[in-house]
Amino acid sequence: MKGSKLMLINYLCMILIGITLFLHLATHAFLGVSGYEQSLTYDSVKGRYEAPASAFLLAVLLIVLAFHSIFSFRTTLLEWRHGKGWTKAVNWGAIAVAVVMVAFGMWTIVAAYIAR
Amino acid sequence: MTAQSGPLKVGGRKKNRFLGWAFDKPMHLERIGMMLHRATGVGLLLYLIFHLVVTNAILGGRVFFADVMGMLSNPLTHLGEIIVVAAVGFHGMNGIRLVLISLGVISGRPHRPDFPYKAPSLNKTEKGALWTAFGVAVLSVFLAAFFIVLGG
Repeated sequence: MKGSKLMLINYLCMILIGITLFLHLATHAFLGVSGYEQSLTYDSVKGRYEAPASAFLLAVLLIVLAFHSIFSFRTTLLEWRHGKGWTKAVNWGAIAVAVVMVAFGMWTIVAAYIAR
Repeated sequence: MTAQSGPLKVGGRKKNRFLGWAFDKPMHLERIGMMLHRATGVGLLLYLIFHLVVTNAILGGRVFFADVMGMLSNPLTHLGEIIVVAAVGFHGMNGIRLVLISLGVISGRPHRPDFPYKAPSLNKTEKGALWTAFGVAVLSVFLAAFFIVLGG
């Protein structure tokens, strides 16, 4: 995929992060909870995974955060050093880390959702 | 022109690949902003990985989750959380500034480079945007402290 297309996807991810991260932080501060401490209790956290809208929000946040963070880190690494081998290693490493991150996060979301 | 191999030499001295990238001269506001943007970016990536591992504890059941949360409920962790929120505030606001620059929204029109040269990227709007990012980071500290320490 072209770098410009990846950057456009990155911009889209940034917008989605802005929206979903705000909602995520709100659910830990004032949205549907009485306070931060209460938002970290087992029932409160489990409840967020069990509600379809909340679970969907977490899934979207996970995917866009993984893409944005790994893509940006990859860009930094490619600016830091150059070379064909390095570029290839960073590209494949970035894909591998992103896949592992999304898979691990989705496992938590899906397993907690199914177990309701 | 021959391709350079080995450590990069600047002004007759060897330039450290990492520190040279981060602490190169002249050290001006925009460079500090860039350094902080990258530092917060890497920090937030590490936090994200840690966060994914911690939230996975929910699958271990009520007792295990309570144990993990109990282990993490201390003043040092709260301080870390406040730093994370501040990093999010700065990184987000500075990210908006960088996107606006790359789209040419706040860069202004290009001008003829006359001596003494001034960095064209450091116009008033951009400086204002960068200071806004610093301001948002400070505001985030207070907001996070309000919700985390005082419980909202």
